[in-house]
Amino acid sequence: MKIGKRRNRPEPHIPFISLADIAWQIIIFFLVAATFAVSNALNLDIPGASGKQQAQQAPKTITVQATDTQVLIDGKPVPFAQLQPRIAEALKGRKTEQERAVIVQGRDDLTFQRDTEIMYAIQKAGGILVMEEEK
Amino acid sequence: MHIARKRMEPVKETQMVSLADIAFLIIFFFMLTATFMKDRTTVPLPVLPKGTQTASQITVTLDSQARIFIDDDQLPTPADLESTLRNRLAGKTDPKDCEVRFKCDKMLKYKTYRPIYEAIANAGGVISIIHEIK
Repeated sequence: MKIGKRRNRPEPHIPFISLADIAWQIIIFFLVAATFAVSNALNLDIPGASGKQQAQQAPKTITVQATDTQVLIDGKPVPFAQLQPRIAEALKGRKTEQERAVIVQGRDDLTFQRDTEIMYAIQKAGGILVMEEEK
Repeated sequence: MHIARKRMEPVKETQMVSLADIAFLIIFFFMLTATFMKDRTTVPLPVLPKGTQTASQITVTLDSQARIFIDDDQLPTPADLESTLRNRLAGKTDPKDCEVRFKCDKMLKYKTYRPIYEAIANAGGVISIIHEIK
């Protein structure tokens, strides 16, 4: 009887290398696709009707009246591009928060885009925003 | 002459099984620690130069049809928004914790979005107007 010679066969094994590759691909996808919950924002701390102190007005508070097409500082029309330097100029020498308050009076036709641009200009000029409705 | 017989050496290979384990552990970590944002309402935002940033978890949205949303839940009136926000902000004193992300359609008019400002302010929130960067 012929008995076949037993050969040294390699042990069978499952190749796991590709699994690691897939896993790393998933990790990279998570990292790239992740949107961090941090957004660009313009912060407004408006005194509310309750809970917070109402804004105190200094005797010479700057008032900005705004429509969607026109901006007035203390009743005088100002080109929109000049808003920030004009407010900065008007705030010169004013040190306390009350003195630096800038009242914004919006008219009904003022769009949100224009309003945010005005508020941004006031904050950049160093003013402290106080919202007030146009009467 | 004695010639050494070439022996069949086992193929040398790096053990990669543990690498897959590590990778999957990292995936599970990402999945478990992820905070899914509840804010799916999209509105055209105003465009401004780069300013500050906010990481607030509360989002108030006012869309083009003047519908008010807090996170993804629609609210009928600004008064409801105020009471909901008051509950959400209860016990918070640090201004950073009181920030409320406000997303508003850039074409809305003052009379429409003004009551939202008041509602957030009356509830003790700090309004963080979300904008695109110019």
